[in-house]
This record gives sequence, structure tokens and C-alpha cells, in this order.
Amino acid sequence: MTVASDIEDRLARVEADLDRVSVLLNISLALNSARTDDEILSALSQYGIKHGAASAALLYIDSNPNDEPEWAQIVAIWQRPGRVSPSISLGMRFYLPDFSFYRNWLTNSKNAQLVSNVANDPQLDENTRQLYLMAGVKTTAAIPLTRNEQWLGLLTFSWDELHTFSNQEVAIYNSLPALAGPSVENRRLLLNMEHIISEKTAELTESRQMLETILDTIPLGVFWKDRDGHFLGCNQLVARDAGLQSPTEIIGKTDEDFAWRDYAAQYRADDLSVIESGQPRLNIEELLASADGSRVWLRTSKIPLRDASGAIIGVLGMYEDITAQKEAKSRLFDSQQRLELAVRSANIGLWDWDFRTDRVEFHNQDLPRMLGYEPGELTNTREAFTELIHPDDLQMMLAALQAHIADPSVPYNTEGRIRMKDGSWKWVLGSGVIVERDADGQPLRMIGTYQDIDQQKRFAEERERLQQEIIEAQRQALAELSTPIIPIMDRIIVLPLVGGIDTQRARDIMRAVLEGITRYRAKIVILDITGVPVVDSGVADHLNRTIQAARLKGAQTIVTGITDAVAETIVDLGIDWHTFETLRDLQSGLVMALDRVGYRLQQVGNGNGK
Amino acid sequence: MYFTNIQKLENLLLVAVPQDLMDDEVIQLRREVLQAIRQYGSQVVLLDFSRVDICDSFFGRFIYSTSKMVELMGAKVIIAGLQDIVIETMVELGMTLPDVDAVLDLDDALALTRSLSQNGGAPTEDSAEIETLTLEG
Repeated sequence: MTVASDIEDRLARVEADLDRVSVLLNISLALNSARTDDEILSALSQYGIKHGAASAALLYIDSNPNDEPEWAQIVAIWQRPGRVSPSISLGMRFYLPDFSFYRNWLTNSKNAQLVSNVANDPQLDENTRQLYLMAGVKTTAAIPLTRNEQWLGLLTFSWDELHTFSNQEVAIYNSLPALAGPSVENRRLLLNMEHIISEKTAELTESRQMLETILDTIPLGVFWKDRDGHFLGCNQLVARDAGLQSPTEIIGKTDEDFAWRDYAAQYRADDLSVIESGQPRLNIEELLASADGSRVWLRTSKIPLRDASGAIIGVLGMYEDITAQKEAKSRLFDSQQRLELAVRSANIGLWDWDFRTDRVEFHNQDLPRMLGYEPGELTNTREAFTELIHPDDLQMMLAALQAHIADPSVPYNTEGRIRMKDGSWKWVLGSGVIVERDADGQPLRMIGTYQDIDQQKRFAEERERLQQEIIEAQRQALAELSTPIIPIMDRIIVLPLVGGIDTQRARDIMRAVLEGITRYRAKIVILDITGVPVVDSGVADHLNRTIQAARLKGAQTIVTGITDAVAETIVDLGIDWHTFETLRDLQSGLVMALDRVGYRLQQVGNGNGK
Repeated sequence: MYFTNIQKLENLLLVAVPQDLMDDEVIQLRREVLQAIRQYGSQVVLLDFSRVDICDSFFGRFIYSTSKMVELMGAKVIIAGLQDIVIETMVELGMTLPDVDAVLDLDDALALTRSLSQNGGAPTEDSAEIETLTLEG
């Protein structure tokens, strides 16, 4: 070897080293910027491709690094344009125990395995050889990719022509494992992480969707706020009450931003008490003004919202719309109150009679109280109650009851007296209705009331009595007017009768005559009937009695004013008036009267004065 | 015991009829009246009813029987002082005593008695006989 040739050799080696270094530097730089499997493959395979490889594949070994590798999957592939091998495609998996070439290599060698002639290389197992032959591969190179002596993956080059590896190539292929290690591992870790993340994300999405579905389906408003009162989220129901399109719009807002701002201070106070005490506040009944302007009653519960470390970061609230309940309750309460009030103010006692047990229940104590009994003092059997009814009213009340039992359309409404505790009687109005019958129509239960009408009854009686008194007083006044006694001289009274004479008036006339006789010491009573329009047998009889009475009192009676018509009637009717004097007019009556008492009328002068 | 109720005044026998006459008392009083007529020879018996305020069947029978018996003994019965309420009942019952004279009070009774005496003892034949009888008795 000459010096020159020696120098040339050295120079060539240096050039080769430089070449190798520059190739590896390029690969390294490309690897550093590689982010995907394809980029990694491209970075790693540029040198191999340059040397005529028909295809390159990057396989990751799908195994636990601490275990023997079992599966390898092609994650990136490069093929020379126009040459498509059906035996190699993306995503293909190889079970390594079936390919001992790879297996041996993986377990025994850390260097690139170079197979110059697939057809006869003894390193290859038959499976691998068949695989390569089917793909038309003549020469192959398998380069393990390692990191800290752990297998990460495999890079393969295939040539469809027989290929002879130069020293330079061998050196570079053997350098690749160390060079590629960190990038491939990063890539693998990234892939693993992505896989885990995607799994977790899927899980999260699923549970989140589930949670949202639950939140939006339950009939509760759910919201959560931070410590400062800003909403962090809510469900659909809250969004609707707030007048928002979507629950996400609520984020960052406060109670002051919504229709219920009037109540914001109270809400905030509740939130703060939960946040500060860490104790939940349950079942707060409060008002909410919703976005549509309505006021609704809520039953709200608030619990502290904690982060992973247990620190309170806000408040979680949920509420239920109890407006309907509240109103129903209030209506019920109202109507109960009203009924109670009505029952009480009307002084009505309720009773509930069970025919099967023959017991009478008093739902409130108004009935016993009405009768002057203390609560519980009244025996509540039907018999005991029946005994309280006034004997004069019992038959009538029982008859009304029977009528109602026989025919429900006949109302049971009856008035009667009931004995009070002190023994006095109280007028009551009893009403009731059969509310339950058995299959045969026999009554099982009857509910009813007794209303205290004692006062009405007494008022009615009092009114009637007053009316009678007024009528009596009026009649008296009329009687005095219609039976005037006129004393005309010593012991002579005149009673001019005007108008019809009925029984009552006849009695009045008789009394007036008797009183007049006593008062004026009358011996003669002149009854003038000129003003009596009709004299029939009735009137004649009345007059007759009056005359008899006057006689028993010691006075004689002269009846005057007998007109021709009256005279006719008297005779036609066969009335006997001969026991007393009758005259045609008052004048002749007076003359006769005076004569009887011992006076005589005498004309003085000629009647023309002097 | 009823003597205190019967007083003689001139030829008038004044009988104050007590309240509430019982059945046997009616008979008793009537007997006493008849005895007094015989004793005093009274011509007129005045039955004063001013104390009586109830009219019942005893009352009616008393007046009726007494007047008949007094007449049989030749004297005359005059009734006085009937209260209004009693008269009303009597009229209702038809107890009108058509044969008995009634006067308002004691004054009228005395006046009537005197007029009877002035008219020669009695307005009727009966009473004259009665007077005679009485005088004889």
C-alpha cells in the first residue's frame, strides 16, 4: 500500500464517516421534528429508500415492555410508487411467536438483521420466508428500535431486487436503533396516552351526558355557584325559569341578572350561610320570580360544593316548584276555614250516624256545646240522642227520617226541640242526608246538622205576639170609636150604632153598654140603629143579648131608628123584639126615655122665641 | 155563719151573696134567706152579687130557685150589682132571668122598694097578697 493510497484510504474513510455522520444528523434532525408515525417512518427510512428499498414499514410492538413481546402492528408504511404489495398494509398485526425470525432477533440481537437473499438465508423461519416471497421481497433489513434496552418497535426495509449492503449502510442501520429510540418511545407514550385519553374521554362524555340527561329530566331546578355568587352551571329547568336558551348561558351571571333579582339578597344570604358553615340548608320555602313574570313558590335545598381537597368552592342548589301544592293546600285550608267559620257562626252542629253501630259521632264539639254539654259529656249513641228530643216532636222527626230513608229525594229537614243539659228546650233545625247504603238500599251512614234556630223561633213568636198586640190595640181604638156612649141626661145614655155588627163588635157593644150603665148610673139605654145598614137575624140576636145584659145590669133599653125596611125584615124573619121598646127615631126614643125617668118635655113659649 | 150576709133594712132583706158558693152552701144560704123572710116579714129580697165574679151553674140555680121560693113566700126578688163579666156569661148561657127585676146598685134597689111601697104595697096582685101575708106573719 502506498502512502498516497493510504492517505486516499484514510480520506475515503473520513469522507465515509462524515457521510455517515451527516446522514445520521439528517435523520436525527428529521426525527426531532417528527410528530406522527408517518413522519417518524419518513425520517428513519430516507437512507434506506435512497438505497433502493421498495418499501419500508414501521411496526410498533404491542406489548408490555416488561414482558415478552407478542404482537406487532404496522402503524406506518411507505411503498415505492407504482409498487403495491398486498401482503403489507397499514394496521396489519403479526403474532410474533409465529415468526421466529423476528422473535429470535428481538430476544437475541440488538443489531440490525440484514437478509441479503430471502430465498436462502438460514436466519429466516419458513413463515417469514413465505411472507416475503409472497410479497416479492428479495432482500430485507429489520432494524430494532430500542430505548434503555427495551424493545419499542421495528423498522423494516424490503427490496424487490437482490441488494448488497455496503459497510456504510450496515453502520447506519446499526446506528438507527439508538437514534430513533427517544422519538419512538415518545410517540408510543403519546399514542398510549391518546388511547387512554380517548377512552377516558368517552367514559367522561358518557357519564357527563348521563348526568346532563338526569339533570334535565328530573323535575328539579339544579344550579351551582361559586363563592362569589356567580353561576357555574345549571340544568334546563333553571335555564327556562331564567329565560335562557341554554344552561351554558348562565355561567358567570349572578342572581342580580335575572327576573328574581328582588329576592337576590335573600338567596345570597342563604348561599353564604351554607358556604360559611359548610352545613346544608334544606327545604327553604321561598318565592321565585320567573322570567315569564309569574311568581312561583319553591322548596329549595342548598349544599356546599367542594373541590377535590374538600375546600368549599361554592354552593349547589336544587329546588322544586311547590306552587301548586301550596295553592292546593291553601285552598283546602281556606275552604276548611270557611266551612268551619260558617258552621260556627251559623251555630250548626254536625252529626254522623253509623247505622251499623248505631253510634252518633260529633265531628266537632259544636253540637254538644250548643246543647250546653262539655266535650265528651254527651253519650254518642242513637238512643241517648233520641231521648233528648222533645216527646211532642219525636214522632214528626222520626217520620221525616223514615220518609228520607224510603225515598232519598225527600229531603230530611225538620224542626224540633232538643233538651239541653240544664233541662230547657232548644229549637233546632235538623237536616241530613244518607251518604252510604248497602246493596239492598238499607242506610249505613247518615250525615247531618242541627242548627240552632232557638232565637229565630223566639223572635218569630215575639213578633207574632207583638203583631197580636198591635191588632188588639187597633181593634180597641176602633171599638171605642165605633161604640160611643153619649150621656144625654141624668141616667140616660145613647149609643148610636154605625156600620155592620159582627160577633166581636156585638161583644164590644155589650161591654160598652154595661160600662156606660155603671159609669152614668143609666136606667135607660137608647140603642140607635139608624146607621146599621143591614139588620138580619144575626144582628137582631146580637142586639137582643145586649138588651138582656143591660136589663140584668138594671137598665131598660129602647131601640130607635127602626126604618120601614128593618121593620119588614124583623117581621119577615120572625124575630121576637116585643120584650123591649122599639121606636122609629131617636127623638121619640128620647121622649119615652125622659118619661121613664120621670121628666116630661114641655114647650115653653110659641117656639119662635117670644 | 151566713147570718152576717143577711141584713134587714126597712122591709128590705139585704143578702150579700158570698164569693165561691159551694153546693151545700147554696142550700144553706137559701134556707137562711127563707127563714129571714119569715122572721122579718120582708117584702123584698135584694140579692147583692157585687162580690161574685164567677158565673157557674150553681150560681144560676141559686138565683132561679131562690126567686121561685121567695115568690112562693109572697116576697119579691131583686138582683143588684151583677158584674159585667158575670152578665156576659149569663147572657151567653141564656140565663136572662126574665121574671126577676134587676137594678144597678143598692140605691136603685131602695128606690125601687120605696116605689113598690108607695104604689100600695106592690105593683101586682101577688105582691099585695105577699104584703098581706107578710104583715100577717
